[in-house]
Amino acid sequence: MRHEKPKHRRFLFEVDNARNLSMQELVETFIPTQAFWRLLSAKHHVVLGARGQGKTALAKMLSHDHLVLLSQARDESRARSAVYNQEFIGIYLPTRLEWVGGLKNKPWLNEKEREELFQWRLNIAACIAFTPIAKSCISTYVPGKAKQAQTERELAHQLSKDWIAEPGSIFDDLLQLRRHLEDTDYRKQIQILRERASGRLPDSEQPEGIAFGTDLFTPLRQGIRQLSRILSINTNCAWLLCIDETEFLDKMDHRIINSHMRAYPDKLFIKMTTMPYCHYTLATNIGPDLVNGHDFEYVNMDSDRVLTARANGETDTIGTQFGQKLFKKLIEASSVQTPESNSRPGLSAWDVLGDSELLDPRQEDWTPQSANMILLEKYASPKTIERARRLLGTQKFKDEISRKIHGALLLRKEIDELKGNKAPTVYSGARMAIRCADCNPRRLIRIFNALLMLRSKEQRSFARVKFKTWISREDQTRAIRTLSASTLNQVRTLSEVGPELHEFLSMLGEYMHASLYYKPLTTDQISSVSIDKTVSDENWKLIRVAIGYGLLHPNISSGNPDEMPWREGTFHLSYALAPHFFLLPRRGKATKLSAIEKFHAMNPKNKGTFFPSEKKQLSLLDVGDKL
Amino acid sequence: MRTIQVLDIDFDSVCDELYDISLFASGYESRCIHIPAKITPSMVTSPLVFGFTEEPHSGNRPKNDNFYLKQWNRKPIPLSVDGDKPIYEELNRQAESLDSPIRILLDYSSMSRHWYATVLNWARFAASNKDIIIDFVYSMGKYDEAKKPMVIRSMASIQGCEGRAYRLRESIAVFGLGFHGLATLAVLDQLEADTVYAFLASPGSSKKYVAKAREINKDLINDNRTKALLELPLASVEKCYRLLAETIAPHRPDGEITLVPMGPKPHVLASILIAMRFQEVACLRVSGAPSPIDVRPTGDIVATRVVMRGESSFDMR
Repeated sequence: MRHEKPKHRRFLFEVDNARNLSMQELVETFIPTQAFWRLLSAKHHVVLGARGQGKTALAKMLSHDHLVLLSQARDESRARSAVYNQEFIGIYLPTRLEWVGGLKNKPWLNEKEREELFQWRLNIAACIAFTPIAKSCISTYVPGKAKQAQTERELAHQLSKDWIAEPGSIFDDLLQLRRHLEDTDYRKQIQILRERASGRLPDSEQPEGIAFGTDLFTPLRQGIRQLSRILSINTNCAWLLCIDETEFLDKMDHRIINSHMRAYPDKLFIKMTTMPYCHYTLATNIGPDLVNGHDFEYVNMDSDRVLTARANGETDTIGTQFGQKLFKKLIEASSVQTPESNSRPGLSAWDVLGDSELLDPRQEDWTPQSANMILLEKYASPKTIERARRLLGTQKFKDEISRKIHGALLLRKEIDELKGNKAPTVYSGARMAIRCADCNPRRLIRIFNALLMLRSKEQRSFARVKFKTWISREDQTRAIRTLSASTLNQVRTLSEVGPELHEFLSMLGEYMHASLYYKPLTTDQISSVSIDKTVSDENWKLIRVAIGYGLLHPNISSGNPDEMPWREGTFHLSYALAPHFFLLPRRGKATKLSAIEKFHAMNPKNKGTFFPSEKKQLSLLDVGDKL
Repeated sequence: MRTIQVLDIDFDSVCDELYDISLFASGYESRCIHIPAKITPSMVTSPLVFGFTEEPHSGNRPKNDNFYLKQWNRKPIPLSVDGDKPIYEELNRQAESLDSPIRILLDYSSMSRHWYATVLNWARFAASNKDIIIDFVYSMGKYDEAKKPMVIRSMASIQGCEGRAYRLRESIAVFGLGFHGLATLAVLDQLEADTVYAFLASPGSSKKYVAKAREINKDLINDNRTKALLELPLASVEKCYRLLAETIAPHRPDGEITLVPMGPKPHVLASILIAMRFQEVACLRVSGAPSPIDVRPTGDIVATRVVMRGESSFDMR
């Protein structure tokens, strides 16, 4: 199969969405996750991941054309075996906003009509998605251009007969057939509208695309049968239909897809991606509900070990391995490629951004009169100071005191010392950039890009730059804080719950800020909120939406492995929001939601006395004014 | 497929015209009745007034309803912002007895975009054997209060503007910019387009509004995907229509093009007409929770003639 490279290599830090990458670019920058290999199996799956978590990349990479390129470009034996032993053939079917927009704009349809329209459109969309995959299979499994063209013609003829009722509509190639199907979908929309506008259609007029008004995926199965017959595809081959972005669909639509998962345990397997808590129902149209683990399995991307892996020997650096790899891949696949750059050892995020003052492990001086001890005695609680003095010089001091409190001490000091035009520097360094991305690839690319954009285009041309003094810590901090603020700001516009969710997250952030700055420090900072079954429906809805958008994360641990808690549990505020609230992006202790609400309801004067304090600290607004 | 012709006209010529049907809206904005007050009822054979079922007692609504009753002898027909059935029924009923060309006057100053898209769809599909001339009139507005950030309630294609949601090439989003910068960014985030164009009303209803729209939307304007910012006059739908068609031309027919007009209604009208003209172009309607803020007329009026030809041709002007 021939894959052309893009003529101009793009600066891929500017493309934070797999949807906008060419096949070549996606394959070059893709990092296979645990979930990816898990999905390469003969099972129905519902893939859950927050926005930007890489669901689309995963679904696209499962499709046959991408997998072929991956197996050619990388030493990936599993991908090679899937392709060349014909174990799995994936089809990518997006259900994007633009597609769903044509379903949601007909409020006059009753439930049955709406179901029929969804089924019809999903059938034709699946067949449209099948055509490039059929072409990829022909290119891969049929030798020689002439034979390939002949095979494509045979398949296109056969599918024209199967899928198109109008006599004489026989197409010679798959692209023409695809265009005809797209036109059919358009004509169907217009036909529905004509019927609405006129009250009825002429008696002689046939419904558009009759072949697709049948059981879900029946036309696709027919296409698969024809292709399998013509190419003699392995009879054990599992066909994977990757339906992407199903969070845009309705509950009723999910029920129809569920019914398929329940009823058809044969060779067509559904891989459906959606946001956490956005698999809207387990109900089916055929009686019993779907059973997780039996009819299908959930795959939660937010806790994928590849995304969250720590680099070797590091104790507190979740996601660094993935962040390092992704940065390297983006650099390699991006714009400037010269003999000089090719010969240079790979550039890392650390080369460009440096260490993090707060997060990088370092040799620290904790002798009695050291700067660190002076800070500890200034900001820590009497109990913590007493414990620190007792443990000083032992390994326990390192594990239980210095490692846990050092970042918070530095943050307190920096914010305390902000005066005049002095700009903060703490949100800088590669590890900080990676941490503030919450193991979310899109967020990570956005942060990297925002930081790299601080340099001119020429300086970004990696072949020419000396990297010693790349981007100042002040600039990095400003850029990361700007992104953090805009992440929170955009919440306001989310459908239905925007303003309420914005207020809720602000309430959590302000409480955590207050507990860090108004109170003597201990070795545990508050960065999580806990709820129990008494949580109100409104707050629970806000928490679910926040998880879906990666703004809150369930605290998963070996003691608490539940990836999708329901109405109880602890959740930490996204590290992406930490710079806005001047928090430490590290998982800490949880406070009950009711206590946070109580604090929020207090007037400013009472808030000052909520936490015992020996010294008046800066308020959030004071800090904001200084920047 | 009917051809669509879009022409700028003078409001004075509208006042000299005789119409078979007119459509007006009654809502909470004071500008609802600015144009109907300037037109002599005897110019229109069958006036139709639709009243929003949402916020039925807010702002100037009682005053507006009263005006229509007194001046036009019409009690508003209740219709939800998403409704269309009464419009189709009324137009079909009226059109039965009318010969081609049918002349319609439509004041969309305070109208739901769904309503005027419905009138256009009726002309495209239900009255396809007749020539239809629709004179769209729009009263420019003054916004006294700062608009609150829009909370997006729904995003869906405008009916008849579904486009072709299957991508062969890149995806293009064309944003009409208004005063809802955050909501526009949220839509961009959902659309995930490869290439973005933006347009704003300039000259607009005031210089102040042009600067404000630029400021509010600076993040989208400076987004690295945004290839161009077009300044399209608010007062010329004909020019907007032509320039939007030229802008998207290099991406047709295989690009997946979505228009998202978030700005003033003449730009919404131009966007809807483009999506009706080119089948691969979709036009999205982004709806927010209702926020009854009064919009007062500035006195300036934009008039546009949309001609949908049947079998015979005729002089449009």
